[in-house]
Amino acid sequence: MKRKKPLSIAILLLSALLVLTFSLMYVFAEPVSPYIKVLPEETSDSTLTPGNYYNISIYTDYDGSDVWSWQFELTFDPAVLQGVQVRNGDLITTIKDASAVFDSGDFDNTLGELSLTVAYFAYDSPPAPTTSGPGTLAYVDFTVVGYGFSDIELSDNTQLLDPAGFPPIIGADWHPDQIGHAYFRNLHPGDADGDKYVGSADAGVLNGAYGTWRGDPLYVRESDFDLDGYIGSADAGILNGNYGITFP
Amino acid sequence: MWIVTTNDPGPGYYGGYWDVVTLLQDEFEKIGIDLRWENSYDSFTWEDVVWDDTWNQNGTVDDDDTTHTYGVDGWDLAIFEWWENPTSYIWGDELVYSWGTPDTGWNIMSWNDTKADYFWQTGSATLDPTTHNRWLWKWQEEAMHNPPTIPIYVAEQMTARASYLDNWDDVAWLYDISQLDINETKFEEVAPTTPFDRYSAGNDTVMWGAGEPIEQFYPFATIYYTEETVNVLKQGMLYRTSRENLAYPPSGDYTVIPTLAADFPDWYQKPDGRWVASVPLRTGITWTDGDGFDAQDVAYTYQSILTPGCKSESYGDYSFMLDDVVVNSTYQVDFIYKLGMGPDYDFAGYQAHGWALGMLPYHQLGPDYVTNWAPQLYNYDPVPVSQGGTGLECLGPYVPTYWDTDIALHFEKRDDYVNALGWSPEMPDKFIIKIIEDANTRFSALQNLECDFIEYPTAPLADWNNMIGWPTHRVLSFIYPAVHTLWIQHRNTILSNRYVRLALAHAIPYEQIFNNILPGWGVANAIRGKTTMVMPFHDSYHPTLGYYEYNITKAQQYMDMWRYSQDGADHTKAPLGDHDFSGFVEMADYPIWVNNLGKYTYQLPWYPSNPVDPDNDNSGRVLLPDITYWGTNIGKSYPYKDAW
Repeated sequence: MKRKKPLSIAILLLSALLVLTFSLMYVFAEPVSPYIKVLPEETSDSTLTPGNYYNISIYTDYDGSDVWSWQFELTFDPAVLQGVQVRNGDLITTIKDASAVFDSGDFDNTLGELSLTVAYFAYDSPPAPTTSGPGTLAYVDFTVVGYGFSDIELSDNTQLLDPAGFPPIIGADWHPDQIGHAYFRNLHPGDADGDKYVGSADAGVLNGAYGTWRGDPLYVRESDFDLDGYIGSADAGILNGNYGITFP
Repeated sequence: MWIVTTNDPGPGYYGGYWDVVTLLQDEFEKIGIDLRWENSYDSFTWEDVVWDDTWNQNGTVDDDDTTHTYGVDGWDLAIFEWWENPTSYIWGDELVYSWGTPDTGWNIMSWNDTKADYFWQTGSATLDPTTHNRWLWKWQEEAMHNPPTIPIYVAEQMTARASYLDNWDDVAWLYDISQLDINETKFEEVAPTTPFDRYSAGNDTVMWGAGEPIEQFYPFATIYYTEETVNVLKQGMLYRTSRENLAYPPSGDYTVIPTLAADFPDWYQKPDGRWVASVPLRTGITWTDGDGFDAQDVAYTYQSILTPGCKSESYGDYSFMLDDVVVNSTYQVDFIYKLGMGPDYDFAGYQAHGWALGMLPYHQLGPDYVTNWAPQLYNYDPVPVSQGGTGLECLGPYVPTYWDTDIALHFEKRDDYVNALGWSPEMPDKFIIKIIEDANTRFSALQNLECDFIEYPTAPLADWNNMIGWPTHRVLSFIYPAVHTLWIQHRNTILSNRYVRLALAHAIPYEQIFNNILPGWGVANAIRGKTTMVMPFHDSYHPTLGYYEYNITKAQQYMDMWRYSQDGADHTKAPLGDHDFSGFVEMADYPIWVNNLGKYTYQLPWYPSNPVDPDNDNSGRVLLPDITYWGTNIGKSYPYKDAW
């Protein structure tokens, strides 16, 4: 068993100073409304070990009454997550109109992609049936297969459409700031490098990113153990509390 | 398919690029395109075919595809350079907004890509450089996907000038001559007396060799660069393009600085939401007859531009964005934008050119707008009334004093104007434009110093290299601010298909052109053109966007995408379901099927460059079975991902 190495005095002093300086909590950057985003936006749960299911939803806050269709694609890290199924949400359903069609895309669990998934109200002469938001486009179910982290990102083809089809109500390619992606990890607290051991390598990662906010090029999300958007004393405390532990 | 060029074998705005076209004929034949070539027109006739009378007609109109008939047939492809100021995208909007082109406008590129329009407009309607660039990059990406034209190259061009000519920049061009100077010491050392007696012409005279004739002096219908030259010297503009440091070797960046404007505009919104650019004007500036320049002149000039009957070439640049230009006070003029337009990132740059833009003298022409320029005396005489001629009064740094038709124009410096603007007192007293249409003769004139500098320096590289070391000349290369591009007639229903345009883009032998042709035109280095007119020195030049590569196999595959969409072809290999030819089968394609259900294919709308084709099975009619192909292929990208 390796000896637990305390953080340097300098870092601890710096941490204390920064706690005073940055008393404001970092506010997670919300996409601009109206948006389409993945929920939950961030997940950090070391109990989601391989074999567990992990579920997300694709949600829009758009509250207009002219919603005719939606479409999205997803990417993820197949070493951590594997797609299982996509289920329709509550936005475009046969309950709202019998013409509703839901067409799930296919998972490519080698590349980590879900191909275009759509829902729409089928019609062959105007006016098209429409519905109102906000609502859930779809639910996506994954199986956890690895230890680590994964971005879950909506592609540029993600859109919410009215019957005209163009331009989209929300279009990722047009206004990427209206799209919210997600982040999943099942790393143990303090294990920034994913080797299941909290040690000097993790401290090195944290030191390199210490004092940075999300958006800073030096910011490393795997060191932001509490996911508050800032790498500081709280994260150092988590690392310190787990220092030297080897996880199974 | 017809490519229409001039009878000038060289490059340029009126160049025929003959060697390039010969290559294109060979390469396009490999992908099944019979490229016929009309190259007998002089520049004025060519302009008529491509830009004016038949600008919206295909190359074959009269059903005779073996002969190009002037006055009847139009064009399918053309090749010429497109100049852009380094500080703005003037002339960009008129190319993007096909819907903004008026009947009296001059938009030969009816590219109808609403997505691109959105990116362009969103990027333009901001004063924030980061936001501007972000959207302009998206615009360039869309153009790569759906090419409006096919830019072939930007040239690092060899040129030379008299070694005694100081503070001249080839890109800022005549737009900034505020520090132009003849170094008297150097002039004494090198000015020759034979074969041309430049010495006797004196060190207070500068001589410019222009490549084109002058058709008219109507400031709103600039046809040739020579006419633009005249406009810049005598008409005056609100702003000008400048290099911050005009010394040689050049340093500093290109920028827009006020000339007749006293400063950059203040932006504000009217209660109805419309944006206004309120521009302060300089005081103490006078016309050549002594009348004071003020806001009324500016308002009258732009109101004339916005009046269709005046047939200003700038109408297409401004009509889609400006509601009106009005006097705010004696020295303050307000540009009122249309609702939803503005603030305008490129505002000052827009007002910094002399192509169909220059101040009109309200006191001489107003208050009515002149809608019948052709018979007016001032259309044929550059010398103003106050100087004994019949032309318009002038507001620029020089005033015309003599015109020998098709041979030369003489100007004299206006000390009061130059002094009021604080320009250099060393500016030459006389400016002579010599019209020398033949490129070889013009080059010889430069070598002999019959001209101190010339337009279109297109001599072979070896000739320029031979001049290095001459004490009489300063030889250099510079990024010539024009894209040499293949223009496309989007009203041709075949060329309006983006796959065909992508096929052309991949059938151009770029390296062969660069290595074997361009050195003969004095191009030291060719920069591969990207898919828009944006050039490397523009601040929103896309840093990572790639280039089209010469690849006949790939070009053939693109052509097949179009062929499979034709009646009688194997429709199962076509981009089925991609009804709007976006390259991706998605929900936006569905309403296109709905809106055209029941129509025969000949009834389908053919929007220039954006045809829709929901007749997936080529049955000749849009019916219910067609949507099944869409359903099968939804999410698929074309051409097929595994093709390349």
